[in-house]
This record gives sequence, structure tokens and C-alpha cells, in this order.
Amino acid sequence: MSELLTMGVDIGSTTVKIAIRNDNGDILFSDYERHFANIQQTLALLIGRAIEKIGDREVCPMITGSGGLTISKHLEVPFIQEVVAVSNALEFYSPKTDVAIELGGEDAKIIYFTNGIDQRMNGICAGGTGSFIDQMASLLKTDAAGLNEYAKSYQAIYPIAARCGVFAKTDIQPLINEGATKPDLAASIFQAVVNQTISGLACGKPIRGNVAFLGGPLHFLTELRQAFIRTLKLTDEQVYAPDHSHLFAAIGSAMSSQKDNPVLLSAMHDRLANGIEMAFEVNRMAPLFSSKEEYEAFSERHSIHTVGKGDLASYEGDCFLGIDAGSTTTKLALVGEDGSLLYSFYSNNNGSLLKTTIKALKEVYSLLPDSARIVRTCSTGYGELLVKAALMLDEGEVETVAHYHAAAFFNPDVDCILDIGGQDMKCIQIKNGTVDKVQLNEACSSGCGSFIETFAKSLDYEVADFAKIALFAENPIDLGSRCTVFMNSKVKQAQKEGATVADISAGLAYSVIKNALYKVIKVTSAKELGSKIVVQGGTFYNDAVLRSFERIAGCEVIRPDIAGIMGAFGAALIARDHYEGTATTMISREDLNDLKFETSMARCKGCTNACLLTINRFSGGRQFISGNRCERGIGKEKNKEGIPNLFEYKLKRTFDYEPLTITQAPRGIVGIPRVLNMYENYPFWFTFFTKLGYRVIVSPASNRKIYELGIESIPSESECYPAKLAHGHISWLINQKVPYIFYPCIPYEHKEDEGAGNHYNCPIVTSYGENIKNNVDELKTTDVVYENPFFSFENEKIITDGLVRHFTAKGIAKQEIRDAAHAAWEEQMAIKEDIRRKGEETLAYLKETGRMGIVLAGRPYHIDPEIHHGIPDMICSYGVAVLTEDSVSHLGCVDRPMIVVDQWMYHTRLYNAAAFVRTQENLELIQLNSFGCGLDAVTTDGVSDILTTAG
Amino acid sequence: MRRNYTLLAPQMSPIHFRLIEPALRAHGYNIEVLDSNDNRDAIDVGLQYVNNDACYPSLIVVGQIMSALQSGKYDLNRVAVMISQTGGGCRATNYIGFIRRALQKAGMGHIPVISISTSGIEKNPGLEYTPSLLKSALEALIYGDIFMRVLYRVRPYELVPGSADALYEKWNAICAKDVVKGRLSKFKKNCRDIVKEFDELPVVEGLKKPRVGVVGEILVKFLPTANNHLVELLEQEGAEAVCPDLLDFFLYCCYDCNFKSEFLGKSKKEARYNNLAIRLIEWFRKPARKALAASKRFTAPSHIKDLAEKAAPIVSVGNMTGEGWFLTAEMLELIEEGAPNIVCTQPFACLPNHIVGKGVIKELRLRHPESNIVAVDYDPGASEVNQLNRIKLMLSTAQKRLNASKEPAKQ
Repeated sequence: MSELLTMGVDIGSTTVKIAIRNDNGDILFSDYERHFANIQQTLALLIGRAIEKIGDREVCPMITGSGGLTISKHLEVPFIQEVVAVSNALEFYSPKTDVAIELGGEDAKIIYFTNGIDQRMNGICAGGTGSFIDQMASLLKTDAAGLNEYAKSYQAIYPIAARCGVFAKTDIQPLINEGATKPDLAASIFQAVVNQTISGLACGKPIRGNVAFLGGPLHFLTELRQAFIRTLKLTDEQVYAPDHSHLFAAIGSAMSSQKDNPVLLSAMHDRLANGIEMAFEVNRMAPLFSSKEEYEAFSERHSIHTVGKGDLASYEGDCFLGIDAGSTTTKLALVGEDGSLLYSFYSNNNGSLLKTTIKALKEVYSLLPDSARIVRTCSTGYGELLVKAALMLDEGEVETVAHYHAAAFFNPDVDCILDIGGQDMKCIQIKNGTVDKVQLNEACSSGCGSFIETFAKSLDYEVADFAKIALFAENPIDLGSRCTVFMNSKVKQAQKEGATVADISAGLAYSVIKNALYKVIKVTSAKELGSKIVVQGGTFYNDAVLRSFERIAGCEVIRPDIAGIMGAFGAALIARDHYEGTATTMISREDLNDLKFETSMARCKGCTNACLLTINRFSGGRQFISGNRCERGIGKEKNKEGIPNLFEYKLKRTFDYEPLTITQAPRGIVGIPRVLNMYENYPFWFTFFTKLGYRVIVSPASNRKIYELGIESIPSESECYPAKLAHGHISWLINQKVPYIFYPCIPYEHKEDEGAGNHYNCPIVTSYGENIKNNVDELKTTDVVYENPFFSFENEKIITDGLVRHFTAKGIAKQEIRDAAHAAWEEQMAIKEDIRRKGEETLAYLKETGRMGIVLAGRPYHIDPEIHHGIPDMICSYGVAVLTEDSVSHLGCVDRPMIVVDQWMYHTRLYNAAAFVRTQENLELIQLNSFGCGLDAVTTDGVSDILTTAG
Repeated sequence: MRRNYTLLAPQMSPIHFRLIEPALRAHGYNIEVLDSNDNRDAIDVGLQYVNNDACYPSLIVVGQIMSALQSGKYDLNRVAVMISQTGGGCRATNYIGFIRRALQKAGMGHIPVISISTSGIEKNPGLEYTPSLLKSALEALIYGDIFMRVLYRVRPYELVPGSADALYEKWNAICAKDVVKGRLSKFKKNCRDIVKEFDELPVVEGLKKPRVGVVGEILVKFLPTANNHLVELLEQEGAEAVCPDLLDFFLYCCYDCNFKSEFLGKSKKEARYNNLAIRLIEWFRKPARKALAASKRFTAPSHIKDLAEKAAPIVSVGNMTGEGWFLTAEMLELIEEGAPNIVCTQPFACLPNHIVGKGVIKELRLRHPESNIVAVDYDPGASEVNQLNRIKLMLSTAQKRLNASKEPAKQ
């Protein structure tokens, strides 16, 4: 028994793995177990199993993994960074590996072996990892393995963002609701993980050669591995997927042991079983209730806000039905003539909104006595239109109005409604009986109900129990107010420090409210919300959340006993108010029983957008189409009435130039990417190069394909989408064999408004050409000439001087450059003038027709259809004209000085446009921004300042 | 603004601000640099008052100020807020906007905000830049830079634990007095003596540790609370931290005027002024430079022009937002000076760093295969475990390479 064994322990974010190895490299024992945050006991359990199998022997341990750091200190066992452990194992098992992709519960790593080891790990974002897959699986009511099964029979793949779970959810939920099949969704989720890994993680370094697939998800989820192999176009010989890939880090750390300080397995087991005290690293907060009495007083206070209930079975007379088809839940409310609630339904829709609604309606019909009849119906919520169409309801109403109706029932003077639902959060402020201001969670669903639900499930708890244990948690963890993905990591960290489930649950309750107040509503004190606050939404059934709100906001609020079905209740009340004696159009009981529907997908052929349409066909030949961005998708002609859409106009005006033919162009071809500052300056560059005798090739309109062309070279995963697109456009130009690509950097834009502090472009728009230069390999490996000189557009003289300097170096005569620059400048001014004139024309049109207009204010590149996602067309389809910020900015002048430093030219336009809009009755303003745009943190505040001062 | 007002300045770099504080006080400004050691509170307050999508430095700066103002320690009618504005197309120029908005929200709109900037974005009557004040401030900065160089270089290897810190404290006390009285000859002597004494502090002979450069967004780079005490962490993990000078950032800002006037049509006069400023600052820094260059253990800072020329093949000197080309230049300098391991710190989603930080890592690796750079994002919600894990990964590569380089030497 003299042989010394080494033991590797890998403590990941979700599982513990161990491997014991002898000198010959045989693995004597290996096992893994999910730890549900209880690392010590899980490890003890595994060591116990090892003793059973191989006896109580001496081993030299080595710990690795993201969760292993603290425990290794306490056990006084050496720690090895997990990537190092993995590379050691790979060097032994598969030395020919060029790249290893390892996905873990919460980590994602790529290790490159060729030309020196280079390792990439996910930084702040846990998107595209095991926990992401789990989260997505739970949306489909399955687990990761189930997802894998589904994915085997997929047919179509939808684009889903895996940048973070939150966005993926927002992408998947509509697909689920619209009836996309589970196999397709599962495959799409895997594809999203692949894209995330390749674009987000690889950060500009292509994955080529022999690839090893490691870690739990890639071991168990064969379809995920297939998706990688498919996307990376790997041959069988290039794939290395070892049998024990999920234990690889543990094996690697066993191999890396220095073989000193051996310990008996039983000694380690005992230390772990006795429990080790670990210090808190995550901050803790005050308990929700200091005593049982306090809790009782709280329950007492909230028990009075109830709605009158009636007995449906004995009810006689008319009743009104409200349906709230939310994104994750379906709610029904049936009220009597006096507003009493006769019946309610609340259920998770399990991914099929329509099925759940039909089921609920069947239930209503079955309970409805002959003495009662439903006379009017109204739908609201996310699936308002779909449900209305499917069930032939009388009307539909937007959510906010329905909510207000319901809240006013409890307190007619209500001035603020805070609604936290499954994945949306709303704050509705009411002034003089009308909805004054609505705030929604934007790109982020941090801390909404579904987050708590997912968490409860991952800890093996029912949601209700999970909420209950929070109430008397002693040390709630402080999770801050950020994205759920970050919270995930924080919770994990707290778990590692031994936080109890109660502490976690209470911490989550706090963070939900912090998010709502500080992130979504952006208030500093609850006084700004109002004095009569009604809170609602399913999430507020959770007493811990309710209590956190009162604690943080420092006020007492009304939570109706029907908090979860307020939308449906409001819709029912609306139906009651609108009832004028005509019978309901709703589908009859008999027809409902026969109602069948099928869902199919098709690409719209209306235009190049090729929107993916979801078509629901109902028995009786009716159908409902969604997913369309314009009316063509539903068979209508696009914008038949000719409502002005300046987005469309500007896009055409900016890029529709006819280039010289190759024979007309003595200087050859120049390629220009259709990105960022080109949406502003293309007319200039086109004219300039054409005058010089170049044939100008501009890359085509952005789309997903273009984006994917460039994902390999994106160096930073947190950039804005418009910037990421640039890589694809450059790759497109390179693929077209354009010999010369010109993508200038423009730190200063044209100074349009003398009053503004400065006229910068944002750092990304300014310097993106540099990122292209330093990260697109083909620029080095092919003989394409790439230039990204810095120019200032401040005025004609300055840009001309810059151009003369740059282009004389290419052997072009000064005067020729000057002439071309002059013509180009004239053209640039002409387009600005044209857009302004078009703006004025549109304003006149609005005056004449009495229509409304919306200034869709963004930055120039927001006219890219891939970036604005068809919003302008959608607005137009409602008969509202769409204006661009630069079509009206010349008409307004913002009051200076502003609180914000007004120094970015694109945004100065925004401010001026906002200043103009506030003087116009028939104009509204919507600000478009990109996720991850740091400037918008400044400018949205600035714009909202300007608008709110107008009242 | 002098006698009767308390000027609150947010903390940025403790090692420098400890000296700036007495320097300004000596000139009649009752300045108080806010203590940010208990950062959680400041960050919470920051989250409350600043748009949560704003960058981490803005959150910390506003948080520090607001939590101080709300503490009840100050007479709100006799307090002013001091803040630096770097100018340029970065969000940081908007600190002042964030602060004013926060003050308004809190009903403290009357509190004056004084902007300190080299580019004069907001003219403010609050502070008079007298030659004597500028001299004191410059000396403070130069002392701070020397301390950073010598302390970080020696501390990881000190023979007697605590001896480097003790020496630093001794000199910090001397310098805090001398920036007030300020004879130039004393300044020169101090520079020499500090370098000399640190050069002679007993160290463990033959001990080798990987040298790790710290670069990045200026606040996150210098403020320990913002970077989760990165220097401390590196030293604990058995490495030596190398942190380039703070003064260089000012020089970088001045130097930019050359590109602006030459290529972007901006004023030639301003470029001349700024070049003058560079020469003046360099003249002041000469004693430090000479002492460092003459030492055994330390290296002198590079000239800003050399840095610009270093960066130019990779990023244009036209990258002037945020840290711009200067960040790339610092990384190059570190790599060439034997610290190829680098932590590049930035606030989550820092715009310029997408380009001059993360964006150049690939190119740097191509040109310098020995470079070992990890980009770490800092954010109120960031998990420390993850940051630590990434830094450890970088360190293990650094250690491996250090061991590999040692082995052949043994034979």
C-alpha cells in the first residue's frame, strides 16, 4: 500500500466532482453530485463513497473550481486554477487538441493551445452556460436532459439572444406563446449557446483545428455538442469528447497534485462532516420582520383589501369576463353586475398561452349556471390580440388601462400602481384620473417574479414555501440591484459562504424591489411615487416581496387580495362599463369544445426583412398571424395610405446612390461598410470617392447573416449591437474581394448647433475603425488595403485639409481632392436640408390631416432595419407618422445650460428635437437606444428632463 | 470659496490624495477628501441617485459625495463639491451633470459644484490656479507617483514584514509637510532620498515574483475600493504590482492637443500652451526621473512623446476619449519593461476601453507573444469570485512562465 494516490476535487457552481488517481494514471474512483449550495456535505458524501469503494487510503488532494477557493483555504488543501487543471489533463489525454471548449454550470471557457496557451473565460456575464440552459429548460417545463431530447427532432432554428438569460427569455417567451414547437425551441436555445460562446467568449479568436468538448453540459447534452460541431464545421477526427469530460477538471487537478501532504480520506471526511465555519463575504441586510408580532400586525393590515366575492353557482343575471393573457400566466376574472368577483383563474400558461386560455374558458362555461350569462368580454395583456382573435372577444384593452380600472376599484384616488409580474415590471402613475406615465422594465427583467420562481426551483423549493421561509430569515443577503445573471453569481457566492435558503429568499425579495425602484422607476424616495400606492402582480403574493417594498420605500401600500389577477379583473370591469345591451360575440360553449387550432411558421415574402411569421389557424377558417413587423405579413399592402415614414425616407436618401461602373472608375473600387458613422456621412464619402473616380461599393443592409459573418472577430462582448455589426460588414466587403476598404474614424461631427458644448461622436462611433484594424484577421492575411484615418467634420475647411493630407499621400492632386471634397460637402449639406424639408412637409401633413406623429429619436444608425426591428413600420401601421430626430431638431432649441454636459452631436439633435416636440400638440417622442450604450445613461435623463419640464 | 467653505472632493487615488489634501489646505482651501473605505454605503447611495446604466466610476463618485452630504457632518450652506472633469467624448465628462442632478433630487441644488479641469470646460470662480498652488499640487502628484513606484516595487520582497509600509509612512509624513512649505531644493532632495532609502531597504535576495501591471480606466485603476483592492490582492497572491504614474494621464491630455491641432483643425495656440505645460511638468518631474534612473531597483517614467510613438503602430494617437491611446501605450510600456502580465481594469461596458483596452489585446499578443493580459470589468454587481478567478488564471500563466525562465538559468 505504499503507492501514493492523488485526489482532484472540482467544486463548480452547481456540482462537486472528485477523481482519485494512481501513479499509472488509472482512475480508481470518480463521481459527481449536485451540491444545491451545500458544498461541505456534498463533498463529504462523495468522499464517503470513495472510502466505500477503495477503502480509507491516504491521498494528496488538490482542489479546483470556482466554488473551491474558500473551502480550499479552510481545509488547507492546495488550490489550482481550473483552466490550468484542464490544460494539464488535456496535455495528457489529447495532446493534439488545438482548442478546448468547456462549459460549466456558470462558467464558460475556451482554451487555445496552438501558438502558446491562451485562455478565455466568461467575465461578468453568465449567459450561455449550464445555468443558462437550465433556466431556459424550465421555461419549456423540462430540464436540460429533456431539452436535449427535444432538440433531436428540430426543424427550424430561431434567433435567440444568449448574451444573457434575460434577453433569451424575452426572445423565447413570444415564440412559446405563439406556438413554436419545443424541438425547434430547444435546438434554438442550443444554437444560442453556441453563438454566445463563439461570439462572446472567443472574443475575436477563431476556433479552428481539433476541438475538445469538456464539462457537464457538453458531456450530457449531445445535441448541444452537435450544434457546436455543426456551427464550427468540424469533421469527426477533429472532435475530442472524452468519456469523462464532465470530470475533466477534477482529473486534471488530481494530475497536478505535487504529491505532498497526504491525508487520510476519513480525516477529510470527518472535518467536512463536522462543518467548517466560513466568514461572510456577501453583505447582509436587516431581517424582514424583527418579531412574530410584527408579522402578525402586517398580515392583519393587509387582510382588509379584499374584493367582494359572489357565488357563481347561485348567481343570477349578467356577468362580464376579463382575460389577461400574460407572457407566462393566464388570468381570468368573471364579475357580476355589482362588480363582485364570481370566478377567477390564475395559472402558469406552461408555454402555451392559447391552450391555457381555452382550458380556463371551458372551465368557466362548465361552472356557469343557467341563470347567469356572459354578456361582454374583454382581453388584455401580452396576448391580448391573439386571444381576442381566437375566442372572438368583444374588445381588447391595453394592460395599463385595465390595471388602472382594477386599482381604482380598491382606491379611487390611487396615484401609483406598481405591478411586478412574471417577467415584466410596470409602474403606472396616475394624474387626474388618467394614466400619466408608464414605466416598463426595458431590456432587462431583473428580479421579476420568474426569477424568484427559477431560483426556488433550482433550490428544490415550491414558490410558496420559498416565499414563506424568507419572512424570518436572519441575515438576508444583499444582492444589489442589477441584472439577474449577476445576481445569480452573487447568490452562488453567498451559498458558498453558507447562506441559508431563507437568507437567499429574503435577499431576492429585497432585490426585486430595489430593481423596481432604482432601476425601472428610477426614484430616489418613495415619495416620488405617490401617496396612494397599489401594488399588484403575481409577485406581490409573496409576502416577503411586499414587506421589502414597504421597508425600502418606507410607506404602507395596498395589496389587493386578488393582486395576481388585477389585469383580468380590470378587463372585466371595462367590459362591464362598456356593456350597452348587445350580446357578446364570444365563441359559444359548443364551438369552444370544437375549437381546434394549429400553429405553423412561415417566412414573410413581403420584403427583404423576411420576418418569421407565426400563423395560428383556427377551426372555421379563421387565422391570426403574428411576428410581422409591418402589414404585409398579414396580407395587407404596406403603408397603403402613404403615411410619412421618415425612417424609410432617410435610409433611401442616405444610401441610394448609383456608383460608377468599373469602366467609368479609373481609380478602381473602394468599399465602405454600412455602419455607425456612415449612416450620417455616407453621402459625403460616396460623393467624394465618386468625384475622385472610384467605384463605391457599400455593404448591404444589415441582417442576422451579416452579423454572423463577423462574430469571430468581436473583441468585447459588452459592446453595443451596432458596433458588433461592423465586423460583419467588413467581412462582407472582404468576401467581395473589394481591394480597398475605407472606414474613417470621426471624433468630431459637423457642428450643427453653436450653443452645444462640443460636437463629439461617441467613443465607439469615433474609433470603431481601430477595432476593425486590430481584430479582423483577414485585413492582415489578404492584400486588401484598409484605411481608417481620423478626420474632423467640424466644418468644410477642416475636413478638406484632412482629406488633402491623407489623399495626396496616395498620389492624388491637391486641387482634385479639394474639388471632390467641396462637392461632397455640398451633398452632405443637401441631404441634411432635404431631411429637414421632409420634416417640415410631414408637420404640414399632420396639421392638414389631424394625424399624430412620433419623433422616433435615436442616432443616425438607428435607421438600420436590423437595429430598429421594424418599429417605425409598426408605428406607421397605426396611422401615425414617423419622424427622425434630425428632421425636426432644427426647429427646436433647448434651453441651456442643461444639467448634462451637451457634447455629443448626435445627442444635441435629440435634445433639440425633444425641445421642439414639447411645443407641439400632435407630436410625441420615443427615444431609441441600444443596450450597452453608456451614453444613453446620460442622454435619456437629459431628454426626459426636457420633456417633463413641458408637463 | 476659500475660508468659509468646506470643499468636498471624492477620493480617487489615496496614495496621491493624501498629499494633495495638505497642499490645497495650505493655500486656504478647506478641502476634505472623502473617505471611501466603507464603499458599500457609497455605492448604494450612488445606485439611488445615478441612472443605474451609468458607469461604475460615476456611481462611486456621486455615491461618495451624496453619502457625505447626507451624513449631517457638514453645514450644507457652507459646503461645496469639487470634481475633476477630463473633457473628451467620454461619459466621465458628465460626472458633473450626474452630481448636479443628484443634488437637485436630494433638494441640495444650491450646493456649488466646482469643476477642476485642464481643458477648462466649465469656467468656475471657485478655484484660483496660482503658481504657488499649482506647484504644491504638482509636487504632491510627483511624490505620489514616486511612492507608487518604489513602494509597490519593494514591498513584495521586503525582508522585514511591514518595513516598506513603515518607510512609506515616514516619507509620506515628511512630504505632507513639505508640499506646504515647498522650497524647491527640499523637493529635489526628498525625491532623491525617498528613492535612495527604498533602493536600500533590505529585501529577500533572489526572490522572484511575477510582475503584474495594472492599467485601465483612471478611477478604477487607482481607487482600491473600485477595483476591490487589486494591488493588495496581487501582492497576496504572490505577485508584484506595477502601476504606471498618475501624472502621465495629465500629460496625455495635454499631448492630445497636438493631434487635435495637426489633424482635426483645432487651435494651434492651445497646442503650444499644452506643450509648454508638458515641458513645465517634466521639468518638475526631473529630480524624480533622475533619482529613479540612477537607482538599482527602479525605472524612470517614459516621456509622453515616446509613449505616443509606442502606441501609434497599434492605435492612432487620434483615440482621445477616456484613456485613449494612452492605455495601449501603458500596456506596451509594461510589456517592454518586464511586466508582460497585465490586469486591464475597466468599468463594465466602458466605451473607449472596448477599443483601446480589450480591442488591442489580440494585436498586442501578436506583437508580443509573451504578453499575458486579463481584462477585468468592475461593477457594483460584479462577482468578486469571478474576478478573482480570472486574475488567478492570469497569475498562474505568469508563474509558469517565470518558472520556465528560471530553470535554464540554474543549469
